[in-house]
Amino acid sequence: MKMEGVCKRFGATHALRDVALEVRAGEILALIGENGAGKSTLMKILSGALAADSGKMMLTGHNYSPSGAHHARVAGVAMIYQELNLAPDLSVEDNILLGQECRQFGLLDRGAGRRIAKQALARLGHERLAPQTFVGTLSVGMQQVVEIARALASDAKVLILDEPTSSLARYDVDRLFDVLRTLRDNGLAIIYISHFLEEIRRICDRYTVLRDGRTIGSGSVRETSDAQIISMMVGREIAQLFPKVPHKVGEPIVHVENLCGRQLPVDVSFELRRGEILGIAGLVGAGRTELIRTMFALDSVRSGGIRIAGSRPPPSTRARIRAGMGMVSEDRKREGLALSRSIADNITYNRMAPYTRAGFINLRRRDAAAREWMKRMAVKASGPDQPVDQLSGGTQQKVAIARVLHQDADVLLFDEPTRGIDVGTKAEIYRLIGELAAAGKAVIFVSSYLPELLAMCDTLGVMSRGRLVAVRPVQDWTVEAVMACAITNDAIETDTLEIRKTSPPPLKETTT
Amino acid sequence: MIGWLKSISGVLGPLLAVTAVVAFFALVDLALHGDNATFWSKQNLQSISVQNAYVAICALGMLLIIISGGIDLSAGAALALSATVFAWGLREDVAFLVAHGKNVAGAATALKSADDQLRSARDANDVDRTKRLLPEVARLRGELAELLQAKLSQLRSQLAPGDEPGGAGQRGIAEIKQAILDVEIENQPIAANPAWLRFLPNSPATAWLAIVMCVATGVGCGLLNGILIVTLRVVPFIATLGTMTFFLGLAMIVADETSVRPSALQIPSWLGEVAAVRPDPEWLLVSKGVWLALLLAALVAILLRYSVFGRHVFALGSNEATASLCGINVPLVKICVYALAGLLVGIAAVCFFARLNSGNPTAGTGLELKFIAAVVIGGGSLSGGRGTVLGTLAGTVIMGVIASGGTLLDLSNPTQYIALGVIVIVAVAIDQLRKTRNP
Repeated sequence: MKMEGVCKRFGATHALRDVALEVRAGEILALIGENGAGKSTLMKILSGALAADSGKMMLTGHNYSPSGAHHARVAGVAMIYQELNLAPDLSVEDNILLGQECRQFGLLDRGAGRRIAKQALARLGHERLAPQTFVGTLSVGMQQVVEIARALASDAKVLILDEPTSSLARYDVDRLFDVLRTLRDNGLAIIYISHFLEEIRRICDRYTVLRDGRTIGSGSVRETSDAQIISMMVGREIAQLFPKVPHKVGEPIVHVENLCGRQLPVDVSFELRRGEILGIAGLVGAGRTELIRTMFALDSVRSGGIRIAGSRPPPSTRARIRAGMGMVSEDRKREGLALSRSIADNITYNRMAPYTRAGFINLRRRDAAAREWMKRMAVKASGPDQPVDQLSGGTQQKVAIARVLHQDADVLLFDEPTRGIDVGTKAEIYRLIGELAAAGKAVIFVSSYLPELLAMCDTLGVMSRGRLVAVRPVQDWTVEAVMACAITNDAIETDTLEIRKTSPPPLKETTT
Repeated sequence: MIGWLKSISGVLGPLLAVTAVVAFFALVDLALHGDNATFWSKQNLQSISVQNAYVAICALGMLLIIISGGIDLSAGAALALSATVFAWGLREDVAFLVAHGKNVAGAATALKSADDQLRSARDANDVDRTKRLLPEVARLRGELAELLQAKLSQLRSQLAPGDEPGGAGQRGIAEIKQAILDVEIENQPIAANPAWLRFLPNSPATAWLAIVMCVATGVGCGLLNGILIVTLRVVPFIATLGTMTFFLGLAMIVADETSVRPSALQIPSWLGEVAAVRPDPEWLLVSKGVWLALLLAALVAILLRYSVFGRHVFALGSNEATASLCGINVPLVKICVYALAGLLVGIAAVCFFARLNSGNPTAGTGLELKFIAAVVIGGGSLSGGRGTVLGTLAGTVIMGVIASGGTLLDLSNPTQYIALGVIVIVAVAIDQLRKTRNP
């Protein structure tokens, strides 16, 4: 399997530029890269879910340009996504044969189907798994086996696994690796996407690093050090697009004490001071968003608590807002904004009191206030009545941020505030965050984009598998140190997922 | 300029649609019947409006629910249940029932059954039973006579001084007097359904009490829906599908599996005005029921546009996650929405009863779809966050006009149904087209 010069654009952004990738039969290739480096896009092109704008792909010496997921599978490329694609109410056998059912005279040939399913399972060393079992009753690890068996049943030559271990317990990871090694020895080409270097060291033969949509380097895993790989992943020069606003860190305002969510975060404690920008780095799924949501009482609290300016607000979002906390969601479309409603509505939803008398709103005064905020945030729109879904992504984000500013919160939680917006707007948002800190507000800034965290924050914490592994002043961090902290598990020896499996702590809502 | 045009089009769109449909039927009617055309007559327009007043009121409630991102399939059943409760309240003379612990009809029935037992005991020469039953029957006779006496004095006080001697009031007094005499005669048999029952007017407070019960039933239905949806996290479609048959069953219990028919005297005369085609003071133009619907429409419009609650309803329907993020009390808003819709259903039930003069538990079956159609024709989105009061009223009128116009043009019922179905789909398709055109 070979890819050359593959390009893909989404609107104005280049997701992939001139990517080259090669994987041979009988090897496992690690595809490494930061969040947003283009790994998923590349794999979607490979598996036919997206079409490349240009470039050439070769499969076993023939030209390969899949017209869809089905075509790719027939050609022998099978993709296993992070989120498993199984029908939980169908049996193992039906899932394996889904889309490639054996037919005879137009009817299902159950016997032949079962033979194929059993064969595939046997190749994976799971011949004892009964083909009639409902997939929904299996563990996540076994479900993954079923997915791989499905790929084998379709006679795959190239198998792509996207972060396959993210939801597996350690024991299942070992079994998965055994399966992958067997398949490799049987002559399959496997592309393995993972953030975790230790996993890559255990299982992969070669690697390819992707950064900002380009291929940065390839080589043998054994001959390359962790440090080299990390510097290839992040080695980006930090440009001067981070306007610095001088601000002074004051007295503590938020204390988070042993906060545990339903699954994530796990036992997080830290302190946040006025005028401080605390960055939180970590990989996708490390529990950063969950930490913020739990702090904002959007997710339920298992144990531990939070103090804001000395008081312990009850665990409801309403109470958190009243205590002076504000949050900007990472997902503008699904959570952050009521898209079909007007700008004015979206800005004032969490604080209408200033314009309200006896439950009724003075619309003119509210619109005037909204207009004021639009001006201050440089929101480009026809007026406060314009529905938010008619605005561009960056402008929408400004509206979402304007809401917490209008709320006049003292503690601001920003979850990926610069995701998917253009550079100019990003700089505006950085300046704004600096100004907020200068005004004595406390800011938590979650981001997957390390350079902005290193440039903007006073303090930086790194999360890994639900825990806040380390919090240090930002000058004590380097890009490599953050990456190392996020992708290696030295800081935590216990596997949180296994803990959850064996001894679930009692679930109780604590009144914090 | 564009913004102004847009805001105008929001108002003009529904009005244009209504005008188009009305004009279509008026012109076709004129072409077919010439001078005998009746569609564009005052009386026909009055009758269309009064026939659809209750639909409009219920559709307003449905609008609230649909804007909040929900749906209510139980609205028709809740309407019938409320109307049945109202009819029951009138028939049973609830105010009298509350004041005396028994009403006349109930006392008469009790006496009748006791008297029958006494007679059969006597025929069977069962001395013991006869002895036991005798004082009981005597007590019931006395009780009924007392209740009738109370009715008599009520009727006397209600009688206007100028009431002519042969009038209904005088006749009622005479009948009741005779009834009291009959009842007090020891061996006189009691009729199964004595004729004088028809001459008994209700206590003055009964109608009001019945209205309170009716509206409370509507609110109760809505509250139940809201609480089910919020606490059990059942999706509104399923929750209200369940309550739909639940309410139907309740109504059948109230109506004893038939329909509840209060006598003509038991129905207050002003109730007729709510449903009368011609309004009593002619200058009102349309019936009082229609004015009630318009008043409620204005209130709902104000609530949606100018109240914090209204904004929260829109927020909820547009994006529930955002509503939570903004600290809106989502469960409470949801319950309030359904309760408010229930309140409107309860009010509509009074108009509904006024049209039928009986409480029929199954009369509401399928009506919920009409309410939903009114909202959807008016531009409401079943995915929530969108919908207007004006559009909903327009949707109601369009449906009413098609039904009435279809009848005048001798279109068969099936044809009307088909036309209505086409209109619903076309309205939504146009809406979708508009949405994709300017995203």
